[in-house]
Amino acid sequence: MIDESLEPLTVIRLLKEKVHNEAVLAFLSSWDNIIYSFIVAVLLTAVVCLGAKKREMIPSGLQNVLELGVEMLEHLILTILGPQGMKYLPFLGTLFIYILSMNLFGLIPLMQSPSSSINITIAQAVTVFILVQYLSIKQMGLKGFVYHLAGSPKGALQWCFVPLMFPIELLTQISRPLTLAFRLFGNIFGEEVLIGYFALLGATILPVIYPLAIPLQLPFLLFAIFTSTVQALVFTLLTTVYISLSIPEESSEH
Amino acid sequence: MDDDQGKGRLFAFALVLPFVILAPPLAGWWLGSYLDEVWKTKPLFLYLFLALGVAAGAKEAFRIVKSIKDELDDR
Repeated sequence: MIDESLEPLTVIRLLKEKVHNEAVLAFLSSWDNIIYSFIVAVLLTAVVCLGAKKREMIPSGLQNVLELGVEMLEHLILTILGPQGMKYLPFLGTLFIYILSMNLFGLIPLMQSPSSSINITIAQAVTVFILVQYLSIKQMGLKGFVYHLAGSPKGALQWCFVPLMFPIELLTQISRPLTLAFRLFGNIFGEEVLIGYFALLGATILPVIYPLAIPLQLPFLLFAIFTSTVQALVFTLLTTVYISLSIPEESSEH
Repeated sequence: MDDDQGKGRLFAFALVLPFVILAPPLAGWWLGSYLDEVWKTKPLFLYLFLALGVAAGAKEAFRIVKSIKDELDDR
């Protein structure tokens, strides 16, 4: 059980202090990260709906910003996957924007990054894993997929190595979601802890020497904007490369 | 393939390389330890899956390096 006093000051913690109903308290304690990620999803949907409300040929305001973001993502994904990457753009684009928003959400006072929870990052990684497997099966067929997992043997000698290649390929597939989940969680969790401890240092220890609290966390907040963007980009790029690797060489257009 | 696309692909593959080398041995170590704990066979599966993980990482890295090489040959 985590010591309540060590919990960061967030909206949910404030709510928990006000509410005395056991069921509500249990719900808030268990589902806090889901609630934050739901808030992020609702905010993103609202922004996109607002931007797409009055669509014009020559964009201005929010529509301009959204179109710029979409074009940048389109360019990034198509440079890796080629023209065939267009069909993966909605998923990969949503993934980038959603992860970036979740990472940055913790920088808003009284909020917490949902991606600093391993459950959320595992859920995202499993989603990517399922999609990559689905796309592979769709592209190659079930037989082709199993053949790909067996290392695509061609000669008699290569068929002898199938019992060895099969577990190796399986392990490669299993390790992909692990990399995605633990890297994102580790980075964002570390970032949150660092900011929290520097804020604590500036507010409690230093005022003993100097009468005013010093916002020591400020440089780390700015750095967190950079690392959050990099982490969202790395997650999206890794997913893009995994999709690219799942497409057999014969069917890829590069 | 234009120059921008080539550079983008190379950058993405280079970025992914450390992860694909390190992740399978770690996954193998974790899976092996878990199976050893379940079947009380320590350290049989740990060594087996660690070796498979190293092989998987090397194989995946080879695939990526090969695709980088093909990319460079195309340009």
